[in-house]
Amino acid sequence: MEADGSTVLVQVPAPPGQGPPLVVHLRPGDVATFGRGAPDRPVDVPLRHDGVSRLAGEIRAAEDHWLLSNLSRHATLVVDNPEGAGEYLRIAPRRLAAPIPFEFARVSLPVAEGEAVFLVFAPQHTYADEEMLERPGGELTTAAFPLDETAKYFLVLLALCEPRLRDSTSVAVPTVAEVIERLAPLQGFGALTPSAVNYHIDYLATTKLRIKQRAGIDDSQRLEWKRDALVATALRFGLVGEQHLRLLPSRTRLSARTSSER
Amino acid sequence: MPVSDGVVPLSVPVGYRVGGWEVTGLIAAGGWATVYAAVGEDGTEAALKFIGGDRLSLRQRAVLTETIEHEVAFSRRDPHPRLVRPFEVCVVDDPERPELHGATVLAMERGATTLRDLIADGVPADAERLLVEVAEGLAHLHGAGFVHGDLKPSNVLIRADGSACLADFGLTREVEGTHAYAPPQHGSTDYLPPEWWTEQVSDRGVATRPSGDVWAFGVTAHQALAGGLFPFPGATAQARTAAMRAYTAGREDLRLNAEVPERWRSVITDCLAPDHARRSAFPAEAIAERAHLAASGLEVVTVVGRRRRRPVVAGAVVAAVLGLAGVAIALTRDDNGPPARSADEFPCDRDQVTRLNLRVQYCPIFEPGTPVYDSPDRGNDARVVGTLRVAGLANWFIGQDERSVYRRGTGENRWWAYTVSDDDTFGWVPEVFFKGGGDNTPDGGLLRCGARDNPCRESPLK
Repeated sequence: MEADGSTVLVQVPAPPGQGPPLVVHLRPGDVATFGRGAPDRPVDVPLRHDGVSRLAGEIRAAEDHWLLSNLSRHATLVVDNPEGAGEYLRIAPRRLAAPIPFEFARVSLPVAEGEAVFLVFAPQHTYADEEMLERPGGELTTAAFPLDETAKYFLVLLALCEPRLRDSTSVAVPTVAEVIERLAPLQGFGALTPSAVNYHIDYLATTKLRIKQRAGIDDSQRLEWKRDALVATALRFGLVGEQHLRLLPSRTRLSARTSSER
Repeated sequence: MPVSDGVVPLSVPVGYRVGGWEVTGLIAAGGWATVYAAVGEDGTEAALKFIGGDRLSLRQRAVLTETIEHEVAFSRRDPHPRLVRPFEVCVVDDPERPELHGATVLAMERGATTLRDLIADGVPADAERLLVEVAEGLAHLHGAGFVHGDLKPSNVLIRADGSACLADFGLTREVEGTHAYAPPQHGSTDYLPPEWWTEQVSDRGVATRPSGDVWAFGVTAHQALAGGLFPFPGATAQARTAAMRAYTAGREDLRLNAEVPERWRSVITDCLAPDHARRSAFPAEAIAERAHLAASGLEVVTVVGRRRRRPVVAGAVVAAVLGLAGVAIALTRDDNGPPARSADEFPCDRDQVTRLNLRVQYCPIFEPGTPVYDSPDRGNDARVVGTLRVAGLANWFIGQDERSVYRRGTGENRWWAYTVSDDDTFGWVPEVFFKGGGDNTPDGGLLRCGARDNPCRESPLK
């Protein structure tokens, strides 16, 4: 994921053990077709499943979101928000350019066996600058960084920043394992894996905050450096604050249980 | 569950006194600051910008500190008529009002209105003069080594006497080398240059450059001249940003609103050059100069040469405004062919004028149709009506005939008025205005040529 001006990323999971996922970057106006493809009819996002038609649909990046066209005669596409509370959309056959409002979306194609899915990210959704809301005479402006405070990545960022938010003299940045432990009591975070946390960190650093990469360090150093740089940038520019700490589970066991029972 | 941090605007009661000022009412709230109207003991009207205060958390205060320090430091610099005039800086010492205690207060001259408010009522009657003044302010800032960082109509104050000045230096930073760093903006995305979207963020913030201000000036000028419309179409900032990025990616042409006067179009187009490198060919000083020309209604300026073959980077941009003709030329180099005749062979008694720090002399040739070049590879009908002599640069010939042809090898230029210099460079000018009274041309007015096969058409000067 690079800061190349793309506003939509399409990611096709690779079968286990078969390398990294395919990622297609789209800028506003760009179109990517998806389907099984054929030698004489290649698609931008190939889905290797016999139950998928050769040209199943297309994705068009528009403004800060994306549009989905279902080019199938009979099959309905289902788009759900993997981080949401079960929100999903059904895109009827032959529906063109349906707007998709999710920052994270999972597109599922109906197949008899197994699954044919891919993910679409729209990291440039815009948010109003919080300080500008409800101000007399103020212009409505957008936040410099499009952070969704209800997203999992935001809680990961918050957990990383928490020690310094609570004590500005602290220099500690939690490890990935500590982040997992800290977020575990929250609903939906029980099965959080280290690779998922690293994924969120990477998404934040490269796509959401566009943090300048440092050259000349190896991968393990880079992960550690990325966490440090994320925390430094988020705190320096006020992207997280004390007011967000109540999104985290309480630090005492007793109240943690209380909040999870609520 | 979105979280609100509960920050509310600083509420300062009417009659509140701070420094030598008495608050008379709220003007606006924006960003982290709230601006109040105030009056001094001697009746001077002022705007008081309250920043911070105890309601801010420690963290928010830390974020603010740098911004406050920069704005205060900047406001203490030498005054300039095109920059808002600062009066004083003080800190509220009032423990009984914890929400105000500790707030920094910048007292500065109070404008009668802002360009944003003027534009809201349509195209201001003196929009062109206001834009010249804005460009002058920007040129001064850049000349002093600063980037404004937040130019937009709401940050252009209009004084009671009608003059314009730049305000709000919260994101203004001193240039180090080629750029400055500013905190990532909380602002309207409509004024951000395209490179902002791919600029990476370091712990110092985002790189800002003078060319970003030039972009913002282009957007501001378009709004002022088109009744508030942005140069990129769309009902929402997101749609306009997408249209802007389609343009900078080369997928769409720039389509300025038809209301923008002809003479401003090339200025705005150059301000909106799609990338930093191309835009930096048009520094604010040159833009101010061209804005001045456009506003004077006398001259028309164009830029951007085009080569038929092997495009070579433009070497320099020369704007010449002269008694008779106003021409701006993008020089392109031709790297082969014999040198042309020297312009010095033609007598000239016109005054030299200084434009864009260049000494320029326009020398009409009062014998229309004089074939200056008789060499076959100079074209079949290359006739000139004058020369431009630029101290330190090549001299230039201005062609007379509609769609004159200039050929060299298999490359050719076909333009109504073209230029051929005597140091082996050539380019073309798709717009030339010959003001009335010319001894050499019967026609006044503006002629523009669109593309090679389009007939030139006359555009009335507004």
